[in-house]
Amino acid sequence: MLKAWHDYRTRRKQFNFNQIVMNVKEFQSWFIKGLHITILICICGYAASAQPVLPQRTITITPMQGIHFGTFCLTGSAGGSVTVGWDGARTCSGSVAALSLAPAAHEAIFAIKLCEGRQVSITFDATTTLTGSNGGSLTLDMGPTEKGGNGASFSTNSDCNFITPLRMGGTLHIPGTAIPGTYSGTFAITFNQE
Amino acid sequence: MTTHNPHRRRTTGSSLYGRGLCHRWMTGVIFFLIMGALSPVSTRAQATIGDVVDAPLAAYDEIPVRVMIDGYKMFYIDAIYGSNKQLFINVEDLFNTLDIQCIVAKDGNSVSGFIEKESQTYSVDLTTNEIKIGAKVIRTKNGLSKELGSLYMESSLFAEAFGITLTFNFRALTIMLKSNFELPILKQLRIEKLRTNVSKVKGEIVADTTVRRDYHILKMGNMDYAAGSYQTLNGPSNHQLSLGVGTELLYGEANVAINYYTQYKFDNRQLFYLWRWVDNDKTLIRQAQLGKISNQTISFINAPIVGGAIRNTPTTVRKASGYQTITDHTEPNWSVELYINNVLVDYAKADASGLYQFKVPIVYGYTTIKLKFYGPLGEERTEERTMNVPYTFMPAGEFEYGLSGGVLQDTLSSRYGRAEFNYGVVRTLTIGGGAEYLSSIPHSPYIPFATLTFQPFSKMTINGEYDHGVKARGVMNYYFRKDALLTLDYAKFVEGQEATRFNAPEERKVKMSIPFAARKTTGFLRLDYTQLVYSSFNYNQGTMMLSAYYRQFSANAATQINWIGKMQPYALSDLALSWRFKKGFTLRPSGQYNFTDGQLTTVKIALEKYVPRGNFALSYEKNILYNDHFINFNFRYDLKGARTNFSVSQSRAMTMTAESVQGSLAFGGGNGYVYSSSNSSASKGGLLLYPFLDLNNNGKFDKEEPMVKVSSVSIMGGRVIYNEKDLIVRIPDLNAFTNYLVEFQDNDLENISWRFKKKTYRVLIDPNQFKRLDIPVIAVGEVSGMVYLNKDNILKGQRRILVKFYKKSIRKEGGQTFAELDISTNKPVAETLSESDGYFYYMGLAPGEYIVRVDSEQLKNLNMTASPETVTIKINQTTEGDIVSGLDFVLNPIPEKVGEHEGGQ
Repeated sequence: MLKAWHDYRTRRKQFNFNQIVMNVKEFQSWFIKGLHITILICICGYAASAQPVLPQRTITITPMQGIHFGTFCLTGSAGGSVTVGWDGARTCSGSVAALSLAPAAHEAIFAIKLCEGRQVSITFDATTTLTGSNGGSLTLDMGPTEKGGNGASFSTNSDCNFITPLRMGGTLHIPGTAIPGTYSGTFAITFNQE
Repeated sequence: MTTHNPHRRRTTGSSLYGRGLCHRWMTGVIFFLIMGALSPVSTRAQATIGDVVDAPLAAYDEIPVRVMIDGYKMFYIDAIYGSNKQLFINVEDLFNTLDIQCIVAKDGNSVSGFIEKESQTYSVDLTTNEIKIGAKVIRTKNGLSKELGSLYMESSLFAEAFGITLTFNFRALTIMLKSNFELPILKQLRIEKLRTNVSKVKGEIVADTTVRRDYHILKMGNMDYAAGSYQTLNGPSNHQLSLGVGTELLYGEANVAINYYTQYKFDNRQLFYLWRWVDNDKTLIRQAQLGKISNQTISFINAPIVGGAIRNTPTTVRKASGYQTITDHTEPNWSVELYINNVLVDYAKADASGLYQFKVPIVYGYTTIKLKFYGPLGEERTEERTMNVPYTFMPAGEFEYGLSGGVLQDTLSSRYGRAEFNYGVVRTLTIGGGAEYLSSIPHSPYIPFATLTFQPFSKMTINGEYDHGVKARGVMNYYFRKDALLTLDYAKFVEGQEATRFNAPEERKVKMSIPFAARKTTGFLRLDYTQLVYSSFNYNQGTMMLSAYYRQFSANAATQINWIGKMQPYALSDLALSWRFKKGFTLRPSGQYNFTDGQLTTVKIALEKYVPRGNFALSYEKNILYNDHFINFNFRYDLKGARTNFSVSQSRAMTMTAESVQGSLAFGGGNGYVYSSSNSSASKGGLLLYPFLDLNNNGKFDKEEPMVKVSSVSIMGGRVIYNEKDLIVRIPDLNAFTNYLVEFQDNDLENISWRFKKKTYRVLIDPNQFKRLDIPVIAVGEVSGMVYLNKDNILKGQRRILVKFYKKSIRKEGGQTFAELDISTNKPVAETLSESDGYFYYMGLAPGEYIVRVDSEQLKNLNMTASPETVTIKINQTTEGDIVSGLDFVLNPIPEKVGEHEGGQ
């Protein structure tokens, strides 16, 4: 598989992201304060010793905004879920009520820059686990993105000065026994330049 | 066959009706004439007395007249109604009641003082028949009269001279009093009310008695418990158990709580412990905490802090000028109480979506805000959200500090510390500063910071904050029109800073909240705009929300929109409605529409039925986005001392059931009583009131003294429990370290002769325990007698004679004991006026010896003497209250000395 990537001059980058939050109130009230993504970027410099300077041929990904689920509380013991769509729409289901406390919920956004217009495919962890400030954990289903679900591919603008933003959402599952607190976590997403 | 003529019939009907009216009118005239015959003044009924005939006052009747003033209680004054059909009012009586300065000359022929303002002096002089008000002089021939030593003035002259209009209704014997200036008594009431409100907000309570804290090394008190079980069909079951204990330890409160969840491995973050000490009377340290502390931080802290904190900030609420607005969500239709530093300040009701809004006063110093939530039928949620006020405002010249430090329960065991101060430079400007330390911040763990709060006028607050290496932020709040609020918020974060993780490099926010009220509809409109500025683009979020109430309907509509740069925007709308109808039913439909997909995302309908102490809720939700549904049935019921909950829910993936119970116990409630509640009792305290009959009047509850029943106690923010068996009045669920005002009224005692020795108590609540308070009640004595006027050796009961009661003091001289008037104060303990037949009566003398006498000043004015001059009485200590009767005074005119009279001529 790796060989195949090289054959197609694919450049692959994998990033680790973190995290989500859930503030402790008193028992029987659960607040989740958002998922935020911080990306450890390892931008590889491409060999550029020749003259004149060639346009950058590798893909550059800049994480701009983490996904954040805002603050919400459980209104019953059945639990539920909170979805932040790639379009930033927050939807609660089950015994979960969204609160409008700052910071507001929003989707994750990556800035993609690729000079030579090619296809880019994305793969990411289907689920990740968030840990709470007071113990406990939550399961987060990642995606879909603006360009589709896991494995989706899309073409980028070939203008070096043009940034293609990629939005990404997720669904957070909250059991009725969730521990109040601030939850955070990381997930990995891979961009393949084809 | 009869031919019907409708016109004729109508005419006949009309004629009959007309006769009926005529008959009633005649009856009215006859009745009026009879009344007129009985009363010679009926023709003047309901007339403003202003057009009086200036005729001399020959004969008159004395009548007590009821005076009504808008905004003040009714009262009676003495008036005389003359044969010339004029009403004369006792000037001194009226002015004293209205708190208008009134100085009576020694001869009783004139009164003087000022009215409305000190520069506006007045005098009413019978000798010259003149009324002077400033430079204005009114001369009246027969408008003034002196009867029984008091100066009377014809009622219409009050309007002409003082701007006080007296409208007399003879049938009701009532005067409607209006003035063209604010009467001092009304002004005083207004100011008092204002001060009471302010003092309540400030937490400064005026009381007869102050009860301070009782300190203990260790005292066990309260216990909280909660248990829950969650079952999934064909899946695992989970359980949860919580236990908390509240005590007093080393003069402070100590709370320990443990939470255990079967699906999670226990770690010490689920163990809570905190010792807290408060003493607002100290100066250097007023608050101290040890254990798991909570703090305002600049850094993002993702774990509990184990450490300590001290502050010199009092926990009382000291109101500054200006307001701040708090907007938040809870369950629909619930009520929310707002506590500032544990003092209840305001409450609000959530709308159909659960949105509520508070406009709360800005208070001085480091402030904590707590919110409590109550259901529509009184159910209370244990949740208490503590919010930190974003800025600190200090009175001019006051300095406040806070020191805190500890170790985080994270994987790195990060060390944390913070030192801060605030100083009020002038009334409108507060500066602050300090430093924060968090070892887990990789490169710059120290964050020096400075703050500035400026209030150019009460409707505007500007706050600046600079956190070195982290951010600079400015917030402006401005209230315009009546309650509309505009907030501008700007924050610039240092590139690469690692203290906070969830912020964009630059954040710009504008918020506007506009309340409205039209007829029976109230609500508010809220507009928010946020721009997060990143290096490549700007992310924009806008929200428009409308919340409205109309009778039992409420609605909330919110639309959010977001977009990147100039790209396509995405929008989402939520609509929630609520309708409360009869028999405790509430219907709440709601839905969400996504403009991106052009479809409804979710629709939900919930029906709730409230029953005493509980409610049923049935809801159905369709999630169109994920083609899922969610059906939930919930039953909540409050047992005595415990809240139970049962729910069944079903979705596409699973079916779940859940059961839970929670409550608390408070021990030490007196007589083996344990108070049980469905809410948390941690950090709470209570009062035990022991009302007793203080037979020996020493203020102490002695063994032989019986308890008495009290049927009502007034306390703000407390629920009073009366026990018929042991007669102890219990008031649980009070906030520890907080002053409460406990008020009693004599009417609430079983015996008419019983009185509370002190009626208001200011009590500081001890933490996690009941505090005992003995309430002495005394049985007062009643005294009665007659005042007669001796006129030509004929005794006739004399009205309006002032009888005074003095506490007897004992003087010992030469081995003998003499009773005498209390010279040290020379003030009567009570006084009463004789009634129209000369009878006087007073109830309310505490056990002891008294000297009773007719008022010497009045005797002097009347030129009379009383016989006997004084009478000594003793009120004995009895259970039912002593009775002394048969006190008779005879007034004898002092004969004029012929020589002196002639000399005076």
